[in-house]
Amino acid sequence: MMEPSIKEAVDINYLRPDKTKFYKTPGGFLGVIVDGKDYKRIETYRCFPIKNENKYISIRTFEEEIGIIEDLNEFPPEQRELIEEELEKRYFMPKILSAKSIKEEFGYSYWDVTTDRGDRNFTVHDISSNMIVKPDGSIILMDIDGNRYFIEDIEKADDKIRKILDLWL
Amino acid sequence: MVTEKAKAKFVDEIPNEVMSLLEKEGVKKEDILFFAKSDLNKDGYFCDNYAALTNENLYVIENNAIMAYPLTKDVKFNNENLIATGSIVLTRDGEDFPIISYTNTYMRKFGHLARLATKIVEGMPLSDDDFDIDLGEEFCPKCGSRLPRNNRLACPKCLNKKALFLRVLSYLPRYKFELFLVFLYIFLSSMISLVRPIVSGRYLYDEVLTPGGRFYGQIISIVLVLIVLEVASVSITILRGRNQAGLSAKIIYDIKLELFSAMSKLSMSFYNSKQTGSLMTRINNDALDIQYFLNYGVPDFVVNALTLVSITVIMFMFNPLLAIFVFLPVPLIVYMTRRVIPRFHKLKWATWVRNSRLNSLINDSLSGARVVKAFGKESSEINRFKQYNENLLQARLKEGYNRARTFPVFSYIMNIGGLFVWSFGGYSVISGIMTFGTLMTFIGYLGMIYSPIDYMVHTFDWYTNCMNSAQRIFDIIDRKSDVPESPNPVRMPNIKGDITLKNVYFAYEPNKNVLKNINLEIKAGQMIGLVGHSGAGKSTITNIITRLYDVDEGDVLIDGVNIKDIDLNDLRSQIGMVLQETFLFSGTIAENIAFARPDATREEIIKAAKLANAHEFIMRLPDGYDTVIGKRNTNLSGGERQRIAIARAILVNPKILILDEATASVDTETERQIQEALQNLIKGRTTIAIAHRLSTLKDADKIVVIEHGEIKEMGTQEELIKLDGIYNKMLNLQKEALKIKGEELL
Ligand SMILES: Nc1ncnc2c1ncn2[C@@H]1O[C@H](COP(=O)(O)OP(=O)(O)OP(=O)(O)O)[C@@H](O)[C@H]1O
Ligand SMILES: [Mg+2]
Repeated sequence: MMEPSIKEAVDINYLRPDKTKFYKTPGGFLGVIVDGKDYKRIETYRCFPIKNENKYISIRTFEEEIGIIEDLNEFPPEQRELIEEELEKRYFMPKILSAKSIKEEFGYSYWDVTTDRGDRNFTVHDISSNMIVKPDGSIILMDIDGNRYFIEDIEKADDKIRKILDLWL
Repeated sequence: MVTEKAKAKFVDEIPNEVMSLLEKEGVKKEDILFFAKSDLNKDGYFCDNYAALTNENLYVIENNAIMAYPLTKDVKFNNENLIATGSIVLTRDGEDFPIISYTNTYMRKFGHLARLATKIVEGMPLSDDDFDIDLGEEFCPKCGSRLPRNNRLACPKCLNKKALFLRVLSYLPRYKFELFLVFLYIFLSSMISLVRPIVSGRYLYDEVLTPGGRFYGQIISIVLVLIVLEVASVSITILRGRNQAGLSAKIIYDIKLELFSAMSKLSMSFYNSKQTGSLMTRINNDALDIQYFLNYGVPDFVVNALTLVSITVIMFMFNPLLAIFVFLPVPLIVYMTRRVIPRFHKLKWATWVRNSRLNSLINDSLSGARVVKAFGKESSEINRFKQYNENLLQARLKEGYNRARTFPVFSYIMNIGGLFVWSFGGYSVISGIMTFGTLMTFIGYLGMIYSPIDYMVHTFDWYTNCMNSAQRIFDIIDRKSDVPESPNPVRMPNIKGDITLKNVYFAYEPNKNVLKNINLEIKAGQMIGLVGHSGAGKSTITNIITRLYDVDEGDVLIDGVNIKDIDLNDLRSQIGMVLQETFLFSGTIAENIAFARPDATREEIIKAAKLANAHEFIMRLPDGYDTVIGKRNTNLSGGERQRIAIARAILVNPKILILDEATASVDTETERQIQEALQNLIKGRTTIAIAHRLSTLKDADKIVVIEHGEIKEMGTQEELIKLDGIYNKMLNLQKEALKIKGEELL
């Protein structure tokens, strides 16, 4: 592996729709052809996962970055969907729809909730350090295993959820 | 061979319907080596799926359908981690297929499954050792809730609250004598306050002031009695105050000591996950809460309960009807308190949270003062502070306003009782049913009864508060260390210094392996060099050898003994470390050098400093070895600090020496001098040196190249140059860079 020159290292290689073609592998993974070069299996990362916009998406092989998509909306819908699907897999974050019960005791809270991905029981330790509040009022919650859950709008959330999270807002 | 016993804990949990599916495939229970449940399907929906491993196949059961993946030579199994989920990916003919998915909760288990499958595919025999691991997914046996990894004894939800209370009380018996006094004083002062209304009411009005009374006209005597009571009561209060102050100091001392020693025992991962500021607030506030509870809460509870009961009894004896009037508003008070108190509790909590955030910020800002100033960001830091402070202010105000609104209402309700007594009592006195003295005694008691009631109602709040604090504190005290000391530690006062790492896997966070399958053998007295890109895992290897963290899988052996079995004290006292980030404590230079060996003589300290090439610069300081190092060590340069750290390590005379970028902050000339010093130092010691500047490692017996947590190359410098791989490239790059600087490398 040769060290990249400074210029190569600093310049962002933006992937534009006209030179980039994503495709699905037989196993359901993602591949991409950039400037005629075929990368058989790639990974997609958001540079700013918490912001969670369709911007600055890093396309990488297991070793290195192929390039960055500046704005996913530049891509045709069918290509966009491929990438969005892949991103959704990576940043798996069920949306909490309602809460059946939330119990808090001594620094741990026990959540029994319905999400858009089915019912789920999970445990959060020390809410203050495992919660990210975004400016738009949505909340990301991390359980003790590092699984993430999304609450779209704290103002509209279940009373049970509000009651427990209000303390930390 | 794998025995049934070894794998039992992994195959015991197979549900019946899954087992029958497996049986249809011709799998017998004893064929199953490993079984794992997942909680996710491939489309990303929560549901129960399963995987079972035999010597021939990996079976995946999804939606009541079973798939068999033969473990033949042409396939590969990999555990691929995404952010919060993972999949086992099968590779066949260069094509990847995900076969089962799971969330982070089951990541470790499936990671292990993939490794076992790989071993079978590669024809390596499995042994019991492959099953002797803790995959750390624990669920509360009572309620099934997920428990935190490795460090809980019981599910906090199912934790017995009575036991908690008793445990808090268990602090008290240590101060038997002080407590006895407290209760004695309490008893005496309750007696006095019970007697006083009788004297100043009944006796004064009915016996002294009323013609025909038993003590008619003896005003002086009754005033004297009242004065004596008053003096006694004041003296007792003073004595009790002194006594409780002493008790209080002792309790808080004990709690804090226990906490601090518990915290020192905790492993690094605890400190990494907590903000230091919030930790300090927590300790101080929680310890205070418990102290108040023990020191005032418990005795006051006894006093108030005692007063309440006796007054009630006396009042009912004097006049049951009037007594009922006194108690009329009580249910209303209790009801209101119960309703309102939780709100206060919440508000108080919010204040606490904000306070601890503010503390964190202050801590951050002060530690980073240099950075803040360097970037000229003082004003934005002030703004950040302002905002946090404003938040705290708001919370405080809200709490205060609420208090101010609520308590007058309370006292009004209490006064209603007084009005009843006055009107009904007055009527009784006029119609001659009751004497004026009795009424005055009642009025006296009336003033005394609401405060205990109020107190009892608040006690509940106090109690929960204290139990919360206690829980948080015991949470720290009880936390099983991530690096638990073995119950029968092997004493090794004289370590030789052989170090072996066998198939070591390690992750700081559950879904990110930082070390992968590290195999490394270091003979006693050898020097090995670790090189690799930043973030490759070099420091992590040293963290594991010093047992700041325990490996997830594999073994670390020192002199052939598993590091987990070695007495931690013996281990750490024979390892010297010079770390990448030098940390000096506030104190003198001499104290810092002697940190690990406070008993060192001055001669030893100076010798160590000379060896570390620190003596010269220390002597140039006006206070020499007695120079007090400022809080953030700003008065020493990076290189100077590093040399003090080296002296510190030299003084320990360790058998194993770890140099993590020990000379990174010094110029080449000084480095050469230190190198010479180190050359003396490393003789006869096992040395692990990490360096970006490869020249530092030219004398190493073995150089190990780490990349992405894996060992990529290993050998002497010549061998690695001949190999012409990663190391050689790094070397050439550095040579070129140094040529430009006009320096010479080798
Ligand atoms: N306490 C920690 N918690 C979580 N991840 C960590 C922690 N410490 C290190 N890491 C991660 O582990 C990886 C290896 O870190 P390590 O400190 O071992 O690197 P290194 O090889 O010593 O690098 P350098 O040469 O920069 O010191 C890095 O990706 C780092 O982000
Ligand atoms: Mg390091």
